[in-house]
Amino acid sequence: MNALHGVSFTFSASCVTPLARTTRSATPGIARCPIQDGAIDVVTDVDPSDESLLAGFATGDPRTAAAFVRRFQGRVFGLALTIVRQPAIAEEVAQETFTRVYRHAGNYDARKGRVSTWLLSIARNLAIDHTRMKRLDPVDPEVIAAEISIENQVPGAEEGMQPDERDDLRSAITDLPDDQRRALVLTAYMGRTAKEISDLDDVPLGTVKTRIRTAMLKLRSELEVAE
Amino acid sequence: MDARCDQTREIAAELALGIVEGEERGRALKHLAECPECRTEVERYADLVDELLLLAPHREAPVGFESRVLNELLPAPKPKRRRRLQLVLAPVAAAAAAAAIVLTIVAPDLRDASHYHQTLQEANGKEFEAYSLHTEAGSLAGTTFSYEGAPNWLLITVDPAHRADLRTAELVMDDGSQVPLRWFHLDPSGSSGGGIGVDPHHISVLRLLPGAGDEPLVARFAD
Repeated sequence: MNALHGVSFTFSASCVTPLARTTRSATPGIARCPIQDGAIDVVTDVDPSDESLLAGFATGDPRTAAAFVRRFQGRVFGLALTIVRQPAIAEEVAQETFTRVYRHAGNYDARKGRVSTWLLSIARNLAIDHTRMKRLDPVDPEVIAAEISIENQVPGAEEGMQPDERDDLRSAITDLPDDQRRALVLTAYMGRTAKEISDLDDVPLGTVKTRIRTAMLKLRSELEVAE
Repeated sequence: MDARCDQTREIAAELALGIVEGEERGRALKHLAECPECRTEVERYADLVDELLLLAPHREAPVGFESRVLNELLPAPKPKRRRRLQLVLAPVAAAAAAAAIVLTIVAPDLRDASHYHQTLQEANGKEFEAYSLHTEAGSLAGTTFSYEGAPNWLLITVDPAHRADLRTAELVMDDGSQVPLRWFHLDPSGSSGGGIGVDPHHISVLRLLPGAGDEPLVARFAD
């Protein structure tokens, strides 16, 4: 889990985050800690979970909100920039992502996935929306494929998979035939439908669907072998 | 495993990628609601899509990004009221006058609110909201009204200058999924309305999409 820079919290076995007054529904199951004067700045080496920070962010607690944004801003901005390619628009997308998360934190369901992937899914969809609405120049999928194939994360920024498992997934993407990799990137990162790719590349729709399915099946096999 | 399972598994990867549209998507979602095995199959692909997004490079956010986000979202702290005692002891006559003025001002609002609640009660509804439609450049282009009841519905009205060539409409939900509005077709007065099978509270954006070359119209429900 990521380190927090410059933020201190009070923790105990049952209290995981300081939360201010509650005006919105918080993530269920998260313990709340009464804040006592002078008790806030006790330093601990335990990082709050993503879910705890999300709950604190949703309640509007300034310190928890700052920690939440700080933890995820690099990943959200990075994904947005990967898709829209323009820093100013990527910042707009990233800011809108956090706004969306703040307003709809109550919809987050930990059973359906991690906070980071929920956040990145929102960022991806917003980035695709901006790309379409602003009619941004189409990006060469090979550029995106090259970027995601390089291990360039900051230490500790990845989660879920072990680093070597993620490398295996990167290698599997690199090893895909060009046409399958192109179809994969166009769908997963650029939100193109099979029909749109068919029109774009002047390839039969059935061929595009086969490329997408074959690529996904190969990567899934790689993922499941790694697990 | 039946034929519906075969059809759903055939498009499981595309479902996880969120690129299946229209009736095909509707049929698949209906089947997934009833078939845990197929749901598991799609979830396995969804896990892969999650991992793909996590491969995107981490980039340093622009200077001041964190502050801009927090300033927009979090309310500024209220200034301390140092003169609370004086305020409490304010003249009774002034308070009475203020109360009279407030009552005069808000009375019509109270009547409107009461009528609004009666209307919803009569129609077995819970909420009626209105949101502005805007062009890409931000100019006002119409209004959409959402109604939460049985059924939920939307009514869309578009100003004359923006009606030409609007062909399709879709909702973007909070989770990013897209719901096409198949009934969308502007009548000569520039209106279109119909039932929606989703909770209006979970709608993020309504998009009206034109043919090539024209700009889409957007209503943001969260605003």
